Amino acid sequence: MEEASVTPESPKNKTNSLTIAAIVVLALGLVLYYSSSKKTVMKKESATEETTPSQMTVTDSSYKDGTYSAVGSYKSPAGDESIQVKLTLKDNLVSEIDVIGNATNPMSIKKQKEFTDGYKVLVVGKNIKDLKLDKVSGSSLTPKGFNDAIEKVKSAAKV
Amino acid sequence: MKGSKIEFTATGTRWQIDFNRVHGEKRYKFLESAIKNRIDDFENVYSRFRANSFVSRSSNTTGIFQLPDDSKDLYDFYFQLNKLSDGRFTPLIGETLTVAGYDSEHTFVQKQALQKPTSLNSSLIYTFPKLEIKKPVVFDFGAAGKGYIVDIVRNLLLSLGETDFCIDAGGDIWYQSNGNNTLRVGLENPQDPEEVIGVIELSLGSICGSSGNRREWGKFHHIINPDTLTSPVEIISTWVVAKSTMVADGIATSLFFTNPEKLRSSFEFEFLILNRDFSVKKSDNFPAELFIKV
Repeated sequence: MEEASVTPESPKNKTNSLTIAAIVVLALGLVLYYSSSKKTVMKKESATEETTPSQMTVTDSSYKDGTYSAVGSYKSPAGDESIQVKLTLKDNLVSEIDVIGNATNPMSIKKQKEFTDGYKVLVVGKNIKDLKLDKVSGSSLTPKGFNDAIEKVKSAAKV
Repeated sequence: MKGSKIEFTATGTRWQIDFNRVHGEKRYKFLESAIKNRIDDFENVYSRFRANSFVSRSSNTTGIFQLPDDSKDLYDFYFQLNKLSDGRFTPLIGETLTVAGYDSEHTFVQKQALQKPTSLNSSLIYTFPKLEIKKPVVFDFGAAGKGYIVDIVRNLLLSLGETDFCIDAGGDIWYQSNGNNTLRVGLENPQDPEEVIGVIELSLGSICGSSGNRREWGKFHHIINPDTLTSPVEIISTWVVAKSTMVADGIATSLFFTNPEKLRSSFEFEFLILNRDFSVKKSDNFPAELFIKV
């Protein structure tokens, strides 16, 4: 794998180098998955195994369901550290993603914690028509009277 | 589900009850009227929108009231959640909502400057089955009342020998099945009702969601934080899975202004919170497949 061997020159760059390292890790897990070359897939592994890109194989045109895990290494001022990304694929979509810091050095632990805490899983909408659903849960369905009243208020406000 | 379906409007929303088996006409009519009558009884007690309900009659007055037999779970729940949320989850939000415009005439016009609701313990002394109202208040059981009536209808169906059904009261859902069936429930994208942001598989229990966007007027929606007298904006939707619909319903609202871990110290539930930037926070065992942006 491409190791993010970014050595920070000053302490304030540490977060940056960590971020870069993590982005590399994310890139390996995610860019490949979303790569425009549909021929490239990651080999399916169990949730506990760790893979490196060398284990990735070109086998299929779609992605197998499963949990994939990868570790990215980087050099911190205190020595080598790593950070792990675990993601679960289901029906060609990422259904779960986790970033786990593996640092041993106290400063690295602190920095990794800052990163994993700040790391946000963002969700997107998918059209209901494309899915087999029994129900949809949102806000409790708006009572009809409420909707009608709101419409009246809105049109009154326009005058 | 493949069997009978009972549909009607009540508690200000659309109800749909699906069964896995097909009932004969007589049984169907019997179930339908049993359910509707029970909900009607409930509304006669708890609806802020019915002039003669217990809730309306005990509003704006003082005195000692004998609570209805079935109200213990609901009042207990409100008092417990009130304490856990430092007073923010309160049945006394009725007056604030009314002044903000969510009144029985649905005017949606703010009447005057909002007042913080009085604290629960300074206004009420609750020792079931007695409720002493020391200061006049306006009750609103909208945050967990609908979940509670779903629990009541579920118990009614169980007592009538039904075991394989789904109750959907405008999105507050209870599901149970005899076999290994599951219910696939989409989590609605609050910004686009044509979309969902994930899917959960429910085998037994309840899912309730709450979103600010669906009942919105002016700068308010149907959830108002009594401390700030504003509607929360950072969190746009919450979903809760629990073994009681009342708990799922009430916690879904509480998550807008209460730390989930604090709530989990007293109630068993799994949750998902959707923030305005579409980042999510969830408990480890929330049974969802999410559509994650990368």
